[in-house]
Amino acid sequence: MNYYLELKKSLSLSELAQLTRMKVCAERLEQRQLCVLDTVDWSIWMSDQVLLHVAGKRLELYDRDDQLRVAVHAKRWPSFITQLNDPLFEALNPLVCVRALLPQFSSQWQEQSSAFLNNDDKIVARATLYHLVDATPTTSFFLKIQSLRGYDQEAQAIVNDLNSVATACQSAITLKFLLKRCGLNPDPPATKPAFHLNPDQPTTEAVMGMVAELLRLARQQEEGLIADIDTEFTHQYRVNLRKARSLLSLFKKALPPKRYQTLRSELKKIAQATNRLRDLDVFLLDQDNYRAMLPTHFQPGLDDLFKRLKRRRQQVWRKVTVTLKKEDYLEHAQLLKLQLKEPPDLSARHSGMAIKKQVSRKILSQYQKIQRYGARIDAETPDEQVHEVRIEAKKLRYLLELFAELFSYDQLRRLIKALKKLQDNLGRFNDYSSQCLFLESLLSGAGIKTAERDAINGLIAVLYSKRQHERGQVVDMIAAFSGTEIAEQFQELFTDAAAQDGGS
Amino acid sequence: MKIVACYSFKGGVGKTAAAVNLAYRAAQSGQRTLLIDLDPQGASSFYFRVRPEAGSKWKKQTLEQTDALMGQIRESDYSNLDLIPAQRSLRNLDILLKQTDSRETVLRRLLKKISQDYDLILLDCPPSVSRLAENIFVAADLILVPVIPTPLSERTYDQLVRFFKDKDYDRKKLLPFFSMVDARKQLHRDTALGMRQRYKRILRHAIPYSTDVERMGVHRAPLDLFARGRQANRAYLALWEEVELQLEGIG
Repeated sequence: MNYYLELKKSLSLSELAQLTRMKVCAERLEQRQLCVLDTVDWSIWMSDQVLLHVAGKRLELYDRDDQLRVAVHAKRWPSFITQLNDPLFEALNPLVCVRALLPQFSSQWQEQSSAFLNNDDKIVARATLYHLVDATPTTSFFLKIQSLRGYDQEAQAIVNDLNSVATACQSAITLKFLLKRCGLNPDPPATKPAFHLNPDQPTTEAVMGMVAELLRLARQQEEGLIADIDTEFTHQYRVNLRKARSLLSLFKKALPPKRYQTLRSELKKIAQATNRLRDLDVFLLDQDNYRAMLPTHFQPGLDDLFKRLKRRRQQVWRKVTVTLKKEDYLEHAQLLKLQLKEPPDLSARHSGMAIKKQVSRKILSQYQKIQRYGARIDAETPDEQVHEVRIEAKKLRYLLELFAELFSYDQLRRLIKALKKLQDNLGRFNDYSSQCLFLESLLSGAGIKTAERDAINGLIAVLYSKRQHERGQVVDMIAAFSGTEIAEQFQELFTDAAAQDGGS
Repeated sequence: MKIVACYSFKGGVGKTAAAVNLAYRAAQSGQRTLLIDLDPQGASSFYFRVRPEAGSKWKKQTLEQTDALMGQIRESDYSNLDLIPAQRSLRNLDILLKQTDSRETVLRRLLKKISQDYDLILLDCPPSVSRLAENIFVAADLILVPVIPTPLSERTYDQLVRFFKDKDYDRKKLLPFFSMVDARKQLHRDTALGMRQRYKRILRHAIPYSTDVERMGVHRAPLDLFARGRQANRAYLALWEEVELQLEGIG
């Protein structure tokens, strides 16, 4: 059993002994100098863990119960977890992935561990006294008393004896609690959009609001993208813009044609700037996989290739940062924001229809579109038609996810899972195809050495074979998603809402 | 969870010293260990400075309800090591066991119920042949038997083996080891040699006679705390490692 007390003043061990009429034995005195490391979105903290760089010597990862999960010697912390070895890499990988580790907060405090002994000199409780010099608003003192199993009565008596100098702490004295008392107040930026949709809202109003929110989230990434903290900023920037563009295209009939065209071209201009950067980032992030595809004697050629791509990536990134800082870009972005704020124009055919009804219709028609397009695909169908199915599947995914709040998520989950299976197959097929094209484009580079050329050709051969493997599964995957079972689920979930009265 | 008993018909053979030091070693090696002091003399409890809670007793309820037994558990000063201290009421345990229907399996069923909390339960047993002893023989996966290499102790061990045979208990559970060995004595050397020829299961490592073991009563702590580099402490460590290997072999 643990007891948590906030002390009114600092207490020495002899004072503790005097107040409790017990022997108090000092066990360990530690000066904790901590730097909290986390990603920009506090993914470690949000998963109830804490990563610390302690005393400039060690990296320590604590779990939600304040147990030390992993500790490794490290004078400096790495920017990326790929620079870490197991088991810390394994522990952080699911949380951090490709994000950079940033020094988010620094503090220090003193911890005195001690033990309360009974007349037999047997330990009945352990205690830790925390002295928080950096606490806000003033220096604070906390005492954690932990009774040994079978000695809770003794521990309770100790707590009672300290009544005059301590008050019960409102929450457990954990690492997080202490860091918060030292002033740490994580405020992770919202990564998922919050649209607050009303099912009866007119479509045009809802869609404009959503596009504006997605644009805001995209622009929130610009700072990190320009500072080149990690590749995720570019990725999220693009994902949000892609969703915005997809929404516009899906609901173009709810907008007057002229307005739709203007918004579409403005968004396209903004998104285009980062196309090349993302391609290079994706390729470089997958370095280890590419290396594993080829035998050892290709490795020097791959070294040359990745060096060249890293240099090119830096050039492209610099160009992107210049673009993002340009007045031209800022004006476009500002203009877009203002246009999205304009009062909804209800002249278009579907502009006034209630959003839930409209979305339900859209989901059904989008699903039917995939069925239609999918029915044309056989083993010989040209790639372009397969890619069309992929794009339509992506739009359906956006519809299901962006409007999830209008429906029961539990029901949507099954459909999203089935759709994801299809998307994974089509996505891999597309990735391998575009990687082959990307690598072919590199072969024409000036001054390319034979070893690098061989490595590129080797990769193309492996990727082509993987691409063919995925292509071989496409027909079955489409058939599974278009089949009666899934079709019935779509009908069951969206037919009623699509037919509902309300709106125009 | 494995159950190991430290047992001998004969008193004063180093049974409690073995229970205390092996329990400490097991805990130090990371096994969540519970030492149950079943000997009313309470020497193990004394060494660990643990007294029973005032008013707590071994009664019929203790044998039937896990909670009653769990309530008697007390944490030692060392990580991973808990104790159920001895108490006077243990003297009546035999009578209580005789009153139960299931006779020899009561203890095993009771201990299996608390198996989630521990990897190892070590029983420090009283030196007697009784219903309690029979319960221990059924409950334990291994029975460590300290034997002083003298003819009298040898005879006692022979009697124990015969008892197991007569009662049809599993003799493979018996794991004797030499205790309080004085290698300077010809008698100890000869007896040990003779017994090793007769009993192949005698553990390789022996515990020497040592004043350090006697001083455990002064320090009230396992040997490792005050006699770390000494021979007796090293011997218990080696013995534990041998026992650990034997435990690994049990499914």
